[in-house]
Amino acid sequence: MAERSLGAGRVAEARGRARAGKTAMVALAAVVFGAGLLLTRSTASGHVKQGIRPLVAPRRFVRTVERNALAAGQIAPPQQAPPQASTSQS
Amino acid sequence: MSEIQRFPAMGCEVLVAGADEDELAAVRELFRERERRFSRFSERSELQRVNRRAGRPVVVSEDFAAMVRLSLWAAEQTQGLVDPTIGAALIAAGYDRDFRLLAQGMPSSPAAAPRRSDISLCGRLLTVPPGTALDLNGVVKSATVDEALALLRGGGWVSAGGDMATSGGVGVALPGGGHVHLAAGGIATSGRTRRTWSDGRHHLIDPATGRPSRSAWEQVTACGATCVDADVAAKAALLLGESGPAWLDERGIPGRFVAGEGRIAVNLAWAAAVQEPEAACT
Repeated sequence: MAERSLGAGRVAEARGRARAGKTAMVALAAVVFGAGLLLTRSTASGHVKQGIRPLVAPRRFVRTVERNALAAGQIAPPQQAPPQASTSQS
Repeated sequence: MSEIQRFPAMGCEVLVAGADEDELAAVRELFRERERRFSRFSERSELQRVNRRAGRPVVVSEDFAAMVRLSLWAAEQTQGLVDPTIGAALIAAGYDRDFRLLAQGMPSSPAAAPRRSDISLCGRLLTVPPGTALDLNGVVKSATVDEALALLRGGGWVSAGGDMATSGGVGVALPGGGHVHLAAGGIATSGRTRRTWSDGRHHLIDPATGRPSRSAWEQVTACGATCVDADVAAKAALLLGESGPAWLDERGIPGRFVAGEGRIAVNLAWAAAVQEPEAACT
């Protein structure tokens, strides 16, 4: 009976050590992953290291163009001479 | 109106009115970046990189994807007349280097048929059909003019090689003489007499034939809500030939047409807007 009790205690101790080991491994993996992620983001050439404003068409403009059909502008008879600019074929 | 400032970009002169120093610097940077990204003549441009990878998916910049969408929209609006897949046809017609360097005598191989319906764009993932070369310059310059205008907080106008947009009104000289007041929006002229070489070939490709257009019009000026609208409408009206004025009228877009020997005609929308004595045609 005492032998059985001793065996159960050793098994419980072993389970405790295994649980602690697993926990430590998970924590270590999370730390390694996080560190690797930060290291990659700070050193990889393909990653932006500082905030930039991309030179893209403003979304509002693109949406307006995509939503609408070709539309007319406003012209009027000449108001002054000579004109300030000219339109020419391009 | 404030001082007009000028700088070269995209093979033409850019004029900006109403910009302070910071705004002018931003406009310059915008044009420089667009030229670098969309040049057909620079091996390092994103456009060339995409064309070299035709047939395979390629991740493009947001700017590039936006211009592809815009050019596909233009093709849809014009029933394919303004087509982004004419790059191969332009090369076949001999327009394979910067216009200033274009030499006499060029290949005359048949042009590849446009295949814009096979272009796949999912987010920034672009796939161009094999053998197809994109040319987005049908919209890039005019879109850049519109965006440059948006950078002018106090209003003004921007012109690039005659493609103009204004937020405050400007007098504009027209091809063949005369001028008009552009109150708002954009105005653009498309023509087949300027960028010509050899036996009269030019850069306006008729997608139906894959060859330079033989339109009855030498130059067409259109006025749109934006410079993109004006430019796309002018190109389409020129390529449509005699039905160009009516096509613009169906959309309410004013158009002015210059034919051979300086003969000038306007459509009904133009005549109504400026009440010109010139005879309107339909």
